[in-house]
Amino acid sequence: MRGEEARPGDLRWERRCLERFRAGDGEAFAALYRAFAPRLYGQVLMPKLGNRQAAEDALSETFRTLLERADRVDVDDRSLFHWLARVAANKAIDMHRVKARTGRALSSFEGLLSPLRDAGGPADELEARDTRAQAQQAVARVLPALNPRYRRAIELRFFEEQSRERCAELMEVKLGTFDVVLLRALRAFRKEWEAQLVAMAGEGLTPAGSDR
Amino acid sequence: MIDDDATDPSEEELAEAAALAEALEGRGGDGTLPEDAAEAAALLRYAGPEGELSGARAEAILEDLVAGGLPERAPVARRPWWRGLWGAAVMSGLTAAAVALLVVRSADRVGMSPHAGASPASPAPSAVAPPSRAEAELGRMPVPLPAPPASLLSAQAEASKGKAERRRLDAEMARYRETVLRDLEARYPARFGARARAGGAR
Repeated sequence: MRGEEARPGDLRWERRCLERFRAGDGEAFAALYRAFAPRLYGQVLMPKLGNRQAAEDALSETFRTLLERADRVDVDDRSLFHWLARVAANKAIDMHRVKARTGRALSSFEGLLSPLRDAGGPADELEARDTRAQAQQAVARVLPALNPRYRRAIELRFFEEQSRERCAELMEVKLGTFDVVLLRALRAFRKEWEAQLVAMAGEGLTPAGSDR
Repeated sequence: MIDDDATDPSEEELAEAAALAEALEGRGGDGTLPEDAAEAAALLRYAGPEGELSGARAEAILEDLVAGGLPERAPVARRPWWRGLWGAAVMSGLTAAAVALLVVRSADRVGMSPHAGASPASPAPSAVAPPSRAEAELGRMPVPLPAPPASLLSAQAEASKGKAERRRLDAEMARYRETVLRDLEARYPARFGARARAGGAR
Protein backbone atom coordinates (compact mmCIF):
# COMPACT_ATOMS: atom_id res chain seq x y z
CA MET A 1 0.00 0.00 0.00
CA ARG A 2 2.96 2.24 0.58
CA GLY A 3 3.41 4.64 -2.28
CA GLU A 4 0.15 3.62 -3.91
CA GLU A 5 -1.87 6.55 -5.08
CA ALA A 6 -5.13 7.15 -3.23
CA ARG A 7 -8.08 6.63 -5.50
CA PRO A 8 -11.33 7.45 -3.74
CA GLY A 9 -14.25 6.24 -5.78
CA ASP A 10 -12.27 3.29 -7.20
CA LEU A 11 -14.20 0.60 -5.39
CA ARG A 12 -11.67 -2.14 -6.07
CA TRP A 13 -8.92 -0.04 -4.60
CA GLU A 14 -11.09 0.77 -1.59
CA ARG A 15 -11.98 -2.90 -1.02
CA ARG A 16 -8.35 -3.88 -1.22
CA CYS A 17 -7.38 -1.20 1.29
CA LEU A 18 -10.22 -2.17 3.59
CA GLU A 19 -9.29 -5.84 3.50
CA ARG A 20 -5.66 -5.11 4.23
CA PHE A 21 -6.57 -2.71 6.97
CA ARG A 22 -8.79 -5.36 8.54
CA ALA A 23 -5.84 -7.71 8.42
CA GLY A 24 -3.86 -5.20 10.47
CA ASP A 25 -2.10 -3.20 7.75
CA GLY A 26 -1.65 0.32 9.13
CA GLU A 27 -0.51 1.65 5.77
CA ALA A 28 -3.85 0.65 4.28
CA PHE A 29 -5.63 2.65 6.96
CA ALA A 30 -3.39 5.64 6.24
CA ALA A 31 -4.17 5.33 2.53
CA LEU A 32 -7.90 5.38 3.21
CA TYR A 33 -7.49 8.34 5.54
CA ARG A 34 -5.51 10.33 2.99
CA ALA A 35 -8.04 9.52 0.32
CA PHE A 36 -11.12 10.58 2.22
CA ALA A 37 -10.12 12.99 5.02
CA PRO A 38 -9.87 16.18 2.93
CA ARG A 39 -13.22 15.55 1.26
CA LEU A 40 -14.93 14.71 4.54
CA TYR A 41 -13.53 17.85 6.10
CA GLY A 42 -14.43 20.17 3.25
CA GLN A 43 -17.74 18.75 2.11
CA VAL A 44 -19.29 17.35 5.25
CA LEU A 45 -17.76 18.63 8.44
CA MET A 46 -17.00 22.28 7.75
CA PRO A 47 -20.46 23.00 6.32
CA LYS A 48 -22.08 21.32 9.32
CA LEU A 49 -19.83 22.83 11.99
CA GLY A 50 -18.42 26.02 10.52
CA ASN A 51 -15.47 25.79 12.87
CA ARG A 52 -12.02 24.53 11.95
CA GLN A 53 -11.11 23.04 15.31
CA ALA A 54 -14.46 21.33 15.70
CA ALA A 55 -14.24 19.97 12.15
CA GLU A 56 -10.79 18.55 12.79
CA ASP A 57 -11.94 16.94 16.02
CA ALA A 58 -14.95 15.41 14.29
CA LEU A 59 -12.71 14.17 11.48
CA SER A 60 -10.46 12.47 13.98
CA GLU A 61 -13.43 10.89 15.74
CA THR A 62 -14.82 9.67 12.43
CA PHE A 63 -11.64 7.80 11.56
CA ARG A 64 -11.33 6.53 15.11
CA THR A 65 -14.74 4.95 14.57
CA LEU A 66 -13.42 3.35 11.40
CA LEU A 67 -10.45 2.02 13.35
CA GLU A 68 -12.69 0.49 15.97
CA ARG A 69 -15.41 -0.87 13.72
CA ALA A 70 -13.48 -1.94 10.66
CA ASP A 71 -14.83 -5.46 10.91
CA ARG A 72 -18.39 -4.22 10.90
CA VAL A 73 -18.16 -1.70 8.08
CA ASP A 74 -20.76 -2.66 5.52
CA VAL A 75 -20.39 -0.68 2.32
CA ASP A 76 -22.26 -2.99 -0.08
CA ASP A 77 -21.37 -1.82 -3.57
CA ARG A 78 -20.84 1.82 -2.63
CA SER A 79 -17.78 3.81 -1.80
CA LEU A 80 -16.53 3.80 1.77
CA PHE A 81 -16.94 7.56 1.60
CA HIS A 82 -20.70 7.23 2.11
CA TRP A 83 -20.20 5.24 5.30
CA LEU A 84 -17.62 7.76 6.54
CA ALA A 85 -19.86 10.70 5.63
CA ARG A 86 -22.71 9.21 7.64
CA VAL A 87 -20.46 8.71 10.66
CA ALA A 88 -19.05 12.23 10.27
CA ALA A 89 -22.56 13.72 10.08
CA ASN A 90 -23.47 11.95 13.31
CA LYS A 91 -20.33 13.26 14.98
CA ALA A 92 -21.29 16.78 13.89
CA ILE A 93 -24.77 16.33 15.35
CA ASP A 94 -23.23 15.15 18.62
CA MET A 95 -21.03 18.26 18.68
CA HIS A 96 -24.01 20.54 18.20
CA ARG A 97 -25.72 18.76 21.10
CA VAL A 98 -22.84 19.43 23.45
CA LYS A 99 -22.13 22.90 22.10
CA ALA A 100 -23.09 24.60 25.36
CA ARG A 101 -20.82 22.33 27.36
CA THR A 102 -17.78 22.74 25.12
CA GLY A 103 -18.24 26.48 24.70
CA ARG A 104 -17.57 26.19 20.97
CA ALA A 105 -19.28 28.46 18.51
CA LEU A 106 -20.70 26.17 15.85
CA SER A 107 -22.64 27.45 12.89
CA SER A 108 -23.90 25.12 10.24
CA PHE A 109 -24.09 26.91 6.91
CA GLU A 110 -25.40 24.00 4.91
CA GLY A 111 -28.54 25.96 4.25
CA LEU A 112 -26.52 28.65 2.53
CA LEU A 113 -24.79 26.03 0.38
CA SER A 114 -27.95 24.27 -0.67
CA PRO A 115 -28.62 26.51 -3.70
CA LEU A 116 -25.10 25.66 -4.90
CA ARG A 117 -25.66 21.97 -4.42
CA ASP A 118 -29.06 22.11 -6.04
CA ALA A 119 -27.56 23.92 -9.02
CA GLY A 120 -24.87 21.28 -9.31
CA GLY A 121 -27.26 18.42 -9.91
CA PRO A 122 -27.95 15.31 -7.86
CA ALA A 123 -26.12 15.44 -4.55
CA ASP A 124 -23.36 12.87 -4.50
CA GLU A 125 -20.33 14.05 -2.62
CA LEU A 126 -18.13 11.66 -4.50
CA GLU A 127 -18.80 13.21 -7.86
CA ALA A 128 -16.17 15.46 -9.27
CA ARG A 129 -18.01 18.57 -8.16
CA ASP A 130 -16.17 20.51 -5.51
CA THR A 131 -18.59 22.34 -3.29
CA ARG A 132 -15.87 24.52 -1.86
CA ALA A 133 -14.65 25.64 -5.25
CA GLN A 134 -18.21 26.51 -6.17
CA ALA A 135 -18.61 28.44 -2.92
CA GLN A 136 -15.44 30.38 -3.67
CA GLN A 137 -16.73 31.30 -7.11
CA ALA A 138 -20.06 32.38 -5.67
CA VAL A 139 -18.38 34.50 -2.99
CA ALA A 140 -16.30 36.16 -5.68
CA ARG A 141 -19.51 37.10 -7.48
CA VAL A 142 -21.30 38.35 -4.38
CA LEU A 143 -18.57 40.47 -2.77
CA PRO A 144 -18.39 43.16 -5.48
CA ALA A 145 -22.07 43.91 -4.86
CA LEU A 146 -21.33 45.02 -1.29
CA ASN A 147 -20.45 48.41 0.14
CA PRO A 148 -16.62 48.70 -0.27
CA ARG A 149 -16.25 49.23 3.46
CA TYR A 150 -18.12 46.03 4.19
CA ARG A 151 -16.17 44.19 1.56
CA ARG A 152 -12.91 45.42 3.08
CA ALA A 153 -13.95 44.27 6.56
CA ILE A 154 -14.78 40.79 5.23
CA GLU A 155 -11.58 40.48 3.25
CA LEU A 156 -9.41 41.53 6.15
CA ARG A 157 -11.08 39.25 8.67
CA PHE A 158 -11.78 36.12 6.62
CA PHE A 159 -9.39 36.04 3.68
CA GLU A 160 -6.36 37.80 5.11
CA GLU A 161 -7.15 36.27 8.52
CA GLN A 162 -6.20 39.44 10.39
CA SER A 163 -6.98 39.74 14.07
CA ARG A 164 -9.95 41.81 15.12
CA GLU A 165 -7.66 44.47 16.58
CA ARG A 166 -5.56 44.65 13.42
CA CYS A 167 -8.68 44.94 11.29
CA ALA A 168 -9.90 47.87 13.38
CA GLU A 169 -6.50 49.49 13.08
CA LEU A 170 -6.32 49.03 9.32
CA MET A 171 -9.82 50.42 8.89
CA GLU A 172 -9.02 53.25 11.27
CA VAL A 173 -11.98 52.67 13.57
CA LYS A 174 -12.45 51.69 17.17
CA LEU A 175 -12.66 48.01 18.01
CA GLY A 176 -16.37 48.19 18.88
CA THR A 177 -17.07 50.02 15.66
CA PHE A 178 -15.28 47.38 13.66
CA ASP A 179 -17.42 44.71 15.33
CA VAL A 180 -20.55 46.53 14.24
CA VAL A 181 -19.23 47.08 10.71
CA LEU A 182 -18.41 43.40 10.42
CA LEU A 183 -21.83 42.37 11.70
CA ARG A 184 -23.50 44.59 9.14
CA ALA A 185 -21.12 43.41 6.44
CA LEU A 186 -22.00 39.79 7.14
CA ARG A 187 -25.72 40.50 7.06
CA ALA A 188 -25.35 42.40 3.82
CA PHE A 189 -23.30 39.56 2.37
CA ARG A 190 -25.87 36.99 3.37
CA LYS A 191 -28.69 39.00 1.85
CA GLU A 192 -26.83 39.37 -1.43
CA TRP A 193 -25.75 35.72 -1.39
CA GLU A 194 -29.29 34.50 -1.02
CA ALA A 195 -30.58 36.84 -3.69
CA GLN A 196 -27.91 35.89 -6.23
CA LEU A 197 -27.87 32.15 -5.58
CA VAL A 198 -31.61 31.76 -5.52
CA ALA A 199 -31.75 33.63 -8.83
CA MET A 200 -28.97 31.45 -10.29
CA ALA A 201 -30.63 28.26 -9.10
CA GLY A 202 -33.86 29.42 -10.69
CA GLU A 203 -32.07 29.97 -13.98
CA GLY A 204 -30.24 26.64 -13.74
CA LEU A 205 -26.83 28.33 -13.63
CA THR A 206 -23.78 27.43 -11.60
CA PRO A 207 -21.91 30.20 -9.76
CA ALA A 208 -19.32 30.24 -12.51
CA GLY A 209 -22.06 31.39 -14.81
CA SER A 210 -22.03 28.37 -17.09
CA ASP A 211 -25.08 26.41 -17.98
CA ARG A 212 -25.54 23.15 -16.19
CA MET B 1 -25.05 48.30 -3.79
CA ILE B 2 -25.92 47.53 -0.17
CA ASP B 3 -25.11 50.37 2.17
CA ASP B 4 -26.67 50.87 5.59
CA ASP B 5 -23.40 51.86 7.23
CA ALA B 6 -24.56 55.35 8.09
CA THR B 7 -27.01 54.53 10.88
CA ASP B 8 -25.95 54.38 14.52
CA PRO B 9 -26.07 50.95 16.09
CA SER B 10 -28.77 50.15 18.59
CA GLU B 11 -28.01 48.59 21.97
CA GLU B 12 -29.21 45.27 20.61
CA GLU B 13 -26.92 45.53 17.60
CA LEU B 14 -23.96 46.39 19.80
CA ALA B 15 -24.64 43.29 21.92
CA GLU B 16 -24.94 41.15 18.81
CA ALA B 17 -21.70 42.57 17.38
CA ALA B 18 -19.87 41.81 20.62
CA ALA B 19 -21.28 38.26 20.77
CA LEU B 20 -20.31 37.67 17.15
CA ALA B 21 -16.78 38.92 17.80
CA GLU B 22 -16.48 36.43 20.67
CA ALA B 23 -17.81 33.61 18.55
CA LEU B 24 -15.36 34.39 15.75
CA GLU B 25 -12.58 34.07 18.28
CA GLY B 26 -13.78 30.51 18.91
CA ARG B 27 -15.61 31.21 22.12
CA GLY B 28 -19.20 30.08 22.44
CA GLY B 29 -21.75 32.72 21.64
CA ASP B 30 -24.38 33.50 24.22
CA GLY B 31 -28.05 33.97 23.56
CA THR B 32 -27.43 37.23 21.68
CA LEU B 33 -25.29 35.60 18.99
CA PRO B 34 -26.78 36.61 15.62
CA GLU B 35 -27.04 33.23 13.92
CA ASP B 36 -27.59 34.74 10.49
CA ALA B 37 -24.31 36.62 10.60
CA ALA B 38 -22.49 33.72 12.27
CA GLU B 39 -23.56 31.39 9.46
CA ALA B 40 -22.41 33.88 6.84
CA ALA B 41 -19.06 34.14 8.65
CA ALA B 42 -18.72 30.36 8.68
CA LEU B 43 -19.45 30.27 4.95
CA LEU B 44 -16.80 32.91 4.28
CA ARG B 45 -14.27 31.01 6.34
CA TYR B 46 -15.14 27.92 4.35
CA ALA B 47 -14.40 29.80 1.13
CA GLY B 48 -11.17 31.07 2.66
CA PRO B 49 -8.05 29.24 3.83
CA GLU B 50 -9.85 27.53 6.70
CA GLY B 51 -12.13 25.66 4.36
CA GLU B 52 -9.39 23.31 3.32
CA LEU B 53 -7.67 20.74 5.50
CA SER B 54 -3.99 21.50 5.22
CA GLY B 55 -1.65 18.63 4.53
CA ALA B 56 0.23 19.27 7.75
CA ARG B 57 -2.93 19.22 9.84
CA ALA B 58 -4.19 16.12 8.09
CA GLU B 59 -0.95 14.27 8.80
CA ALA B 60 -0.95 15.44 12.42
CA ILE B 61 -4.45 14.03 12.90
CA LEU B 62 -3.43 10.77 11.25
CA GLU B 63 -0.35 10.52 13.41
CA ASP B 64 -2.45 11.01 16.50
CA LEU B 65 -4.92 8.37 15.34
CA VAL B 66 -2.35 5.66 14.79
CA ALA B 67 -0.09 6.67 17.67
CA GLY B 68 -1.42 3.86 19.83
CA GLY B 69 -1.25 1.34 17.00
CA LEU B 70 -4.19 -0.28 15.31
CA PRO B 71 -6.73 -1.71 17.72
CA GLU B 72 -6.28 -5.37 18.52
CA ARG B 73 -8.62 -7.42 16.45
CA ALA B 74 -9.95 -10.51 18.12
CA PRO B 75 -7.86 -13.31 16.61
CA VAL B 76 -9.75 -16.12 15.00
CA ALA B 77 -9.24 -18.97 17.46
CA ARG B 78 -7.68 -21.99 15.77
CA ARG B 79 -8.81 -25.28 17.32
CA PRO B 80 -6.34 -28.13 17.70
CA TRP B 81 -6.76 -30.85 15.08
CA TRP B 82 -7.83 -33.48 17.61
CA ARG B 83 -10.77 -31.34 18.65
CA GLY B 84 -12.01 -31.53 15.10
CA LEU B 85 -11.82 -35.31 15.22
CA TRP B 86 -13.62 -35.39 18.51
CA GLY B 87 -16.42 -33.31 17.09
CA ALA B 88 -16.69 -35.55 14.03
CA ALA B 89 -16.87 -38.65 16.23
CA VAL B 90 -19.63 -37.17 18.35
CA MET B 91 -21.58 -36.15 15.27
CA SER B 92 -21.18 -39.62 13.73
CA GLY B 93 -22.42 -41.25 16.92
CA LEU B 94 -25.46 -39.01 17.07
CA THR B 95 -26.26 -39.66 13.43
CA ALA B 96 -25.95 -43.43 13.89
CA ALA B 97 -28.22 -43.32 16.92
CA ALA B 98 -30.82 -41.31 15.01
CA VAL B 99 -30.74 -43.76 12.08
CA ALA B 100 -31.06 -46.75 14.42
CA LEU B 101 -34.03 -45.16 16.14
CA LEU B 102 -35.71 -44.53 12.80
CA VAL B 103 -35.17 -48.13 11.70
CA VAL B 104 -36.61 -49.55 14.91
CA ARG B 105 -39.66 -47.30 14.77
CA SER B 106 -40.22 -48.09 11.11
CA ALA B 107 -40.03 -51.80 11.88
CA ASP B 108 -42.66 -51.35 14.57
CA ARG B 109 -44.96 -49.52 12.21
CA VAL B 110 -44.75 -52.01 9.35
CA GLY B 111 -45.25 -54.94 11.69
CA MET B 112 -41.98 -56.68 10.88
CA SER B 113 -42.56 -58.60 14.07
CA PRO B 114 -46.03 -60.12 13.50
CA HIS B 115 -46.76 -60.42 17.17
CA ALA B 116 -45.56 -57.03 18.14
CA GLY B 117 -48.31 -55.22 19.96
CA ALA B 118 -50.75 -58.03 19.19
CA SER B 119 -51.92 -58.63 22.69
CA PRO B 120 -55.55 -59.58 23.18
CA ALA B 121 -56.21 -56.04 24.28
CA SER B 122 -54.91 -54.62 21.00
CA PRO B 123 -57.33 -52.67 18.90
CA ALA B 124 -58.84 -54.22 15.83
CA PRO B 125 -56.38 -54.58 12.91
CA SER B 126 -58.26 -52.11 10.77
CA ALA B 127 -57.66 -49.44 13.41
CA VAL B 128 -54.04 -49.07 12.16
CA ALA B 129 -54.08 -45.73 10.36
CA PRO B 130 -53.54 -46.26 6.66
CA PRO B 131 -51.25 -43.92 4.78
CA SER B 132 -52.76 -41.19 2.74
CA ARG B 133 -53.99 -41.88 -0.78
CA ALA B 134 -51.12 -39.97 -2.28
CA GLU B 135 -48.64 -42.01 -0.27
CA ALA B 136 -50.37 -45.20 -1.26
CA GLU B 137 -50.36 -44.22 -4.92
CA LEU B 138 -46.70 -43.46 -4.83
CA GLY B 139 -46.13 -46.88 -3.37
CA ARG B 140 -43.35 -45.55 -1.19
CA MET B 141 -44.87 -46.57 2.11
CA PRO B 142 -44.37 -50.12 3.38
CA VAL B 143 -47.47 -52.31 3.77
CA PRO B 144 -48.32 -52.56 7.44
CA LEU B 145 -50.21 -55.86 7.57
CA PRO B 146 -52.87 -55.95 10.25
CA ALA B 147 -51.90 -57.97 13.29
CA PRO B 148 -53.87 -61.24 13.58
CA PRO B 149 -56.61 -61.02 16.16
CA ALA B 150 -56.47 -63.12 19.31
CA SER B 151 -59.45 -65.19 18.10
CA LEU B 152 -57.47 -66.33 15.03
CA LEU B 153 -54.47 -67.26 17.11
CA SER B 154 -56.60 -69.34 19.49
CA ALA B 155 -58.36 -70.99 16.53
CA GLN B 156 -54.95 -71.91 15.11
CA ALA B 157 -53.92 -73.37 18.45
CA GLU B 158 -57.07 -75.57 18.64
CA ALA B 159 -57.29 -76.55 14.96
CA SER B 160 -55.82 -79.97 15.53
CA LYS B 161 -58.54 -80.98 18.00
CA GLY B 162 -61.27 -81.78 15.47
CA LYS B 163 -63.43 -80.78 12.48
CA ALA B 164 -65.36 -78.09 14.28
CA GLU B 165 -62.14 -76.40 15.36
CA ARG B 166 -60.79 -76.52 11.75
CA ARG B 167 -64.01 -74.88 10.45
CA ARG B 168 -63.62 -72.21 13.09
CA LEU B 169 -60.02 -71.64 11.97
CA ASP B 170 -61.18 -71.37 8.32
CA ALA B 171 -63.78 -68.80 9.28
CA GLU B 172 -61.25 -66.79 11.31
CA MET B 173 -58.72 -66.96 8.43
CA ALA B 174 -61.38 -65.78 5.95
CA ARG B 175 -62.18 -62.83 8.21
CA TYR B 176 -58.51 -62.01 8.56
CA ARG B 177 -57.93 -62.23 4.77
CA GLU B 178 -60.89 -59.91 4.26
CA THR B 179 -59.31 -57.41 6.63
CA VAL B 180 -55.92 -57.63 4.89
CA LEU B 181 -57.45 -57.18 1.45
CA ARG B 182 -59.52 -54.24 2.61
CA ASP B 183 -56.39 -52.52 3.88
CA LEU B 184 -54.50 -53.29 0.68
CA GLU B 185 -57.35 -51.92 -1.36
CA ALA B 186 -57.36 -48.74 0.66
CA ARG B 187 -53.64 -48.29 0.19
CA TYR B 188 -53.23 -49.51 -3.39
CA PRO B 189 -56.59 -48.97 -5.00
CA ALA B 190 -55.16 -49.28 -8.51
CA ARG B 191 -53.77 -52.75 -7.86
CA PHE B 192 -56.18 -54.16 -5.28
CA GLY B 193 -59.50 -52.78 -6.41
CA ALA B 194 -62.62 -54.80 -7.10
CA ARG B 195 -60.57 -57.72 -8.44
CA ALA B 196 -58.78 -58.21 -5.18
CA ARG B 197 -62.05 -58.03 -3.29
CA ALA B 198 -63.59 -60.51 -5.68
CA GLY B 199 -60.65 -62.83 -5.12
CA GLY B 200 -61.00 -62.42 -1.38
CA ALA B 201 -64.67 -63.31 -1.59
CA ARG B 202 -63.88 -66.55 -3.44
